[in-house]
Amino acid sequence: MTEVLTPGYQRAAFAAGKYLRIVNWHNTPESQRGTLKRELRWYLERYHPVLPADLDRFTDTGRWALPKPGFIPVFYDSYLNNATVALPVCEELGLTAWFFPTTAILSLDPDDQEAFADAHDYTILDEEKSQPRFAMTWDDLDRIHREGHVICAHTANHAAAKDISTDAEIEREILGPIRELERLTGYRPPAFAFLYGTPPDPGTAAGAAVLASGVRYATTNTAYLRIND
Amino acid sequence: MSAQTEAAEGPAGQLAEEVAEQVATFDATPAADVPTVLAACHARLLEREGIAMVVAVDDLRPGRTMPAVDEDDRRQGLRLAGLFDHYYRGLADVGFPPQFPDEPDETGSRELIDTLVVLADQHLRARIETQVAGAEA
Repeated sequence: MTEVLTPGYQRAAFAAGKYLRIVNWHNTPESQRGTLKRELRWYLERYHPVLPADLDRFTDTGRWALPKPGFIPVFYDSYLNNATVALPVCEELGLTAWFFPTTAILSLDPDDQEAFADAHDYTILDEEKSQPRFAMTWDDLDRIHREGHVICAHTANHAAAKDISTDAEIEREILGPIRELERLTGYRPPAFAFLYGTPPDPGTAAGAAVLASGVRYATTNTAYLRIND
Repeated sequence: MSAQTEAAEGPAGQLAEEVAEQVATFDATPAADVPTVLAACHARLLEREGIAMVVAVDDLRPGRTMPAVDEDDRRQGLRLAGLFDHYYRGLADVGFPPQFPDEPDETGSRELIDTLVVLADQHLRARIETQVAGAEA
């Protein structure tokens, strides 16, 4: 799995036509609503949103079967502004996006969110510091799901693979979030991402747990890796 | 019809349209000053902006390998690999300068990611600033 992070691996995949365009967002504040809309429209004019079934077809057959080159718009980390800004923009454009929520913060008391953000690598934007809360809730995520967007797993506490080793940590950061998201959506999350986007190393407990989780794709900083049927 | 419009509809205008069509595509001319592009990427407010990336796709299921892609995708892939070589070499030539030297690399692949960031910035990232000012938000 470590070869995934080498230039030679990346180049060989590209040269073989095995690549994917993605655009990752984290915060999508109200002040950026217009920019987000124009950017997404720009991408939509040139690229076609990829769904998990499209990626399955590509990894199974080598064929995209899309009307235009594919791309995935991705929103990370359960920011409330993903639900209040990105979601309606996507709806307006008729665009299906992928969301990677961290699950612990979805049920966290708003009074505790700032301290949690400081401890877990979230960014609260200055323009949102007066808000009662900065994270979405399970109800918000349910709305995103019911609008047809793709819900993927990104640990409970925005955790890095290197910080997950015990059985309790694996349950809390990998298996528990996958199970909770499956309960919400009715389907196993199609993809899983660690903080920092590292690949699941089968030689580690955390990596082995992701590989055995039934999730179909390991999402990394440099690749989308099919790991299960 | 103004002279300006006539010029825009002539050969020069056609060339300009073709160049505009290539902006932020794999067919765009690679940036020459790669370290400057990287510095510009890192100066952007990535916590609130879309981060364009071109990533690999692979099948790591036991006993499986991805089948070959069709000819068009393969051709585009070769072009992409050439761009990757260009940007990797452009950063390697200056020793992959760390943009945030005080921060530890948590990814284990900083050089590779920096290469992809520059590549995607030049050949994928939306260019909405070229739109007419005052266009609908």
